[in-house]
Amino acid sequence: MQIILREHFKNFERFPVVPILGYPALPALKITTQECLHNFEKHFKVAKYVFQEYEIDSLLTLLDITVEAEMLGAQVNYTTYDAPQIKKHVEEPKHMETEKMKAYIKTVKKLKEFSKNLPVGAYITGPFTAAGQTIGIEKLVKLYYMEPESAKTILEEVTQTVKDYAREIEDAGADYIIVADPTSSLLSLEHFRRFSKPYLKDVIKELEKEAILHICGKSKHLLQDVPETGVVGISIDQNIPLYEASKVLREDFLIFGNYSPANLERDEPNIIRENVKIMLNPVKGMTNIVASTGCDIPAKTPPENIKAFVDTVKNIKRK
Amino acid sequence: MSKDELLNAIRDSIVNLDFDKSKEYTLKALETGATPQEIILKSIAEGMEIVGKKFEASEYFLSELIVAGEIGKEITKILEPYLKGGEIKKIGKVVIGTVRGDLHDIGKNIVAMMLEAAEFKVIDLGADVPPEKFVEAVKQEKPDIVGMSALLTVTMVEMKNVIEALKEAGLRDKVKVIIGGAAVTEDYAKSIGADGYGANAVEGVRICKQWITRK
Repeated sequence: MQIILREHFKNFERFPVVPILGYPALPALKITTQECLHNFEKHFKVAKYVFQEYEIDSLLTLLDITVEAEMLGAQVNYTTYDAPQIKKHVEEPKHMETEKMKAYIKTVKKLKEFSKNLPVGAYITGPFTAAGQTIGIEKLVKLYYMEPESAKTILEEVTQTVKDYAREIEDAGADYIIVADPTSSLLSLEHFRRFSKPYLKDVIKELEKEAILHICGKSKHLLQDVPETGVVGISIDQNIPLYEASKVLREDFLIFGNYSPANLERDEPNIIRENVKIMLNPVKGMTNIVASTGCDIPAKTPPENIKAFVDTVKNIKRK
Repeated sequence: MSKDELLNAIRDSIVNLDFDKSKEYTLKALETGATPQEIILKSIAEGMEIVGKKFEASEYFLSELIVAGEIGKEITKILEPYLKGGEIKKIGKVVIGTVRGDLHDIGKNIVAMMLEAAEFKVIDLGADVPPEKFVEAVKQEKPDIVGMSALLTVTMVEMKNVIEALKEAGLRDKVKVIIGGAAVTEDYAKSIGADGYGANAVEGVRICKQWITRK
């Protein structure tokens, strides 16, 4: 049965809690990032551990914005436990299947088998971010001004890869797709409308399941256009207070956010408890808010900090 | 158009993010006797200053800074053959890099580009730069300023390691240290003993200019 996120989260008496959480489980399980992301059994073990250990309200794959870029030929660098980064861009993107994308698809399948009625969320990368990861953002933006047709061709190729991958993730059983598009926050509204939004729309209209857009960074100026991409919600970071975002968006539009991952890593649990209350108090009574982090939680974050975050959210009544 | 009008037109084409016009006016300005130095000072530097102000007013975002910077680079390429080996006077020297473990270099690249437009000589060490490489560059290049960038919370701790390494090498008091990047805050900059924190590229460049003019 298809899960409708808005309906699913509406009946919670407390705020639902779905932080961008995965990498802190790696040191706990002594599984490296590279092992985890290339082996679906290990990736599943990590995602299941996160879900059971922290008792969050959705199963999630790990956020990795190098998947599609690697499928297009970029080279990826792996540290022991943190999210991968692009090591080398590619001049001419060429679509290919990678071990990592295959492992992601199998992980989603296994998570869905495990989840029963709980939602399984899976990340893909927004076309503009994926294109920037593939050929380099500066090159992409420059190309758009100097050789607009070449830039469009590249964005279309990247979009096709994102779409193909997203469809496979959906077919594997993901209940909702989170489109991670952090690089779009570098764009002015005008540039967002040129470089990012049309391609996002193109991806989202292909999906049968619901999608959430994750844009961390200063993205308040883009909020007004986000619903037009076809997503049912947005995931934002600490640069935009949740209440401010809710004023721009219609009341049935889901807003995930927005605890600073840097503060979650650094602060003491008692400070985190207080700050979670400060984050959620202004949006009490709103049924479209899902408590999350502004971005990916770093691997070194102490487990007691993550627990303080989740437990505090769970103890705050929505009304 | 007169020479001054052309210099202004180049400046405006940078501000309006117009690659084609910027090239056309640069070539015309050279034909009317404008020197590369004049184009760099009156067109590129002033143009980037205006772009920076638009950025601070949230009229422009990072993508516009990138485009304006790329136009500046293209103009500089046109000017190279006209420089006749003559160096353009620089106001100061900055060694800049993204710290070890962090491969995100867009923020650092924008700062480097804007520093160059503001007449600094920039030694760009790239991304994933270990502390010893910063120390080596300070020894060799004798810069006025060291700039460090980090996007990730997991890598920003490296900034402290660079400052410690500069201290150990006896070089800390020879340079000003400025840091920036998505993960970094002013409090963090103070806590590790940096001299400055740039919340964005424009502010970072302004701080560097202030340091140089106060020298």
